[in-house]
Amino acid sequence: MTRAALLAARALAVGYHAKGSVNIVAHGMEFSLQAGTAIAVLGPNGAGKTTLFRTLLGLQPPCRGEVLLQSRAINTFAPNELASQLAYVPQAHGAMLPFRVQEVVEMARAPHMAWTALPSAQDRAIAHAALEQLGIANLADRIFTTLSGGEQQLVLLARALASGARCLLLDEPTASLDFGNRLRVQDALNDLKSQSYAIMFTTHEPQQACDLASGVADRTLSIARDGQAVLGPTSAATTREALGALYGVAAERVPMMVDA
Amino acid sequence: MSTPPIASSALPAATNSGLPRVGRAGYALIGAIALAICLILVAFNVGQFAIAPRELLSLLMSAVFGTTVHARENADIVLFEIRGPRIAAAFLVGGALAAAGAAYQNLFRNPLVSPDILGVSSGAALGAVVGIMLGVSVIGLQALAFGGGVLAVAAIYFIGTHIGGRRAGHAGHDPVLTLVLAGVVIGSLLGAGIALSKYLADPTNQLPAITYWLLGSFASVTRSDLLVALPLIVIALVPLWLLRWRINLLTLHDDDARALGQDVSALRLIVIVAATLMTAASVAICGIVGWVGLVVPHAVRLMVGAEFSRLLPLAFLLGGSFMLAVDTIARSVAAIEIPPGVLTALLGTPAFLWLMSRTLGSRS
Repeated sequence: MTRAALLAARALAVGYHAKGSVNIVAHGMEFSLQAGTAIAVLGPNGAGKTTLFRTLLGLQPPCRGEVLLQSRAINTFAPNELASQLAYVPQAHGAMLPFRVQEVVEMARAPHMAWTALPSAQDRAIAHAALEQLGIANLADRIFTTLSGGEQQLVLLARALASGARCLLLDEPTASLDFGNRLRVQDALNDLKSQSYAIMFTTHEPQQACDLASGVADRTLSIARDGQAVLGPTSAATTREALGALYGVAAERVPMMVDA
Repeated sequence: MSTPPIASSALPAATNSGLPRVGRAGYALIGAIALAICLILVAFNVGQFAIAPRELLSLLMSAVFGTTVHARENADIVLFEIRGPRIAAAFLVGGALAAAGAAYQNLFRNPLVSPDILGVSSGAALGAVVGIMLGVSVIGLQALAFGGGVLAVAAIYFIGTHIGGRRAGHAGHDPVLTLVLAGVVIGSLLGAGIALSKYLADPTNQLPAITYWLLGSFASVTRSDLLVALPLIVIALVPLWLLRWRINLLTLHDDDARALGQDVSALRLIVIVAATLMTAASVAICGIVGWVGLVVPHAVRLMVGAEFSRLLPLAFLLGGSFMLAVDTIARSVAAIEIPPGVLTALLGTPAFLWLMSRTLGSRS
């Protein structure tokens, strides 16, 4: 692969800085995410997936190593500049007030707008185009909080696209979805991958990890409970033996999830 | 996430179609302005010395352009010294409380918080109660109430942002929750102070004054009160108006908003300062009037949705209209004045329940 990496981690260790001491949660992360590729981040709860994402998004400093966005250290970006290149897709949660879908997506234009500005006609058009890109323009006038979990997830994905970013970080994109909605999100991610977006997503549940990872992700970054991270091809990371070792259970108790 | 997919596909088409989105909010705004003007005219026309619209116009024209007055003797005094300030105060306070409530409901991501969630009313009340017991002048009382409200919020904000603030990198740290909890704790401490003052107060003079103040009233608002409160409220409304779209970002979780490039702490502080200023200024001139700041913005959100640039002007206009209607009824239906706080609850509760059942009913 000769394409330049959009997002890269070099000898990265992530964790918390608390009162002078450093508490490392996960370490040994080394990856380059190119356009048109996807990496799954797999690991049990508490292994440091969220901490990794917060570090990649520049919300907390790395403990060791560095994060590069287009070969430039992430802490040299202004917040608005970073937000327009690297988009975060949170888990769909019901805690929002009753915004219309179009308004939710328009919020992604914030990094391009002055503090006192209202979304321009162009901002609104970009937001609508993002909904169309995912085939959910029919939801534009619906109230976000009344949508199903899968629809909400797609709307949040559209919001990430509307920011103009080419690199997407998704937090547990299918965790709370039923089978059909999971497939819809998976299809959307595959489409975006073929449109040269760079995608990284976390997941903690092996079944969903295998569905999503084998369908979308070329490579998987496995983070074990002790924080050791290993990057490998998804097919190798999702074998019974690998999953058994990752989650600390016997390999024969891991159900066969991937068609060999 | 818990909504089954079937429920959303079964949504009635009426929620989607109907009037186009700008149109609907536009009609609501025109309606709210018309309602406000009608209520102001009615309010002048009600009471011991009713001022009819024609007389009102004549007096205003003469005051502004110096034209000849076609009005009764003393009508100008009633207009400019008594009823005018009272009407302006009721409208302004109702509007300010509703606008502050709307901002706080966005900030706390909760449609049922009121402008005094960060202790501004308790702080102001304690300040006023101490003022009554010390026997200070009216101006001194208002200054103490305003200062008490601002100090309480400042203390709660300081505590809320410093507890856990050192571990800002922690993913589980939720500054909004910390603020609410600090508000609850400091609020009950202030409540204990108010209770102690009432217990110690002289029951013949001070205690009735304290009770009266805590119930809130527009009866004693003068023009000079208004001239102090008006600039504060207007100054506080300016940042809310300028940031009326960006305040939407506060409804997102902190990490989410920060990943969109937003400096969440700065925006949150601006909103808290603005909402505190106007609530404290309101409480200082008319005492504690509950209910409006909680329910009016919530009701407006049920009508036009959560988007703050649509919510803010409507919340202000309808909050002001509601407060003015309540005060007009409070001073006219009975021989004695009814405390407006009691009336807001009596009138507002059924109206709110009706609105809620209609809106929720059409969505399920």
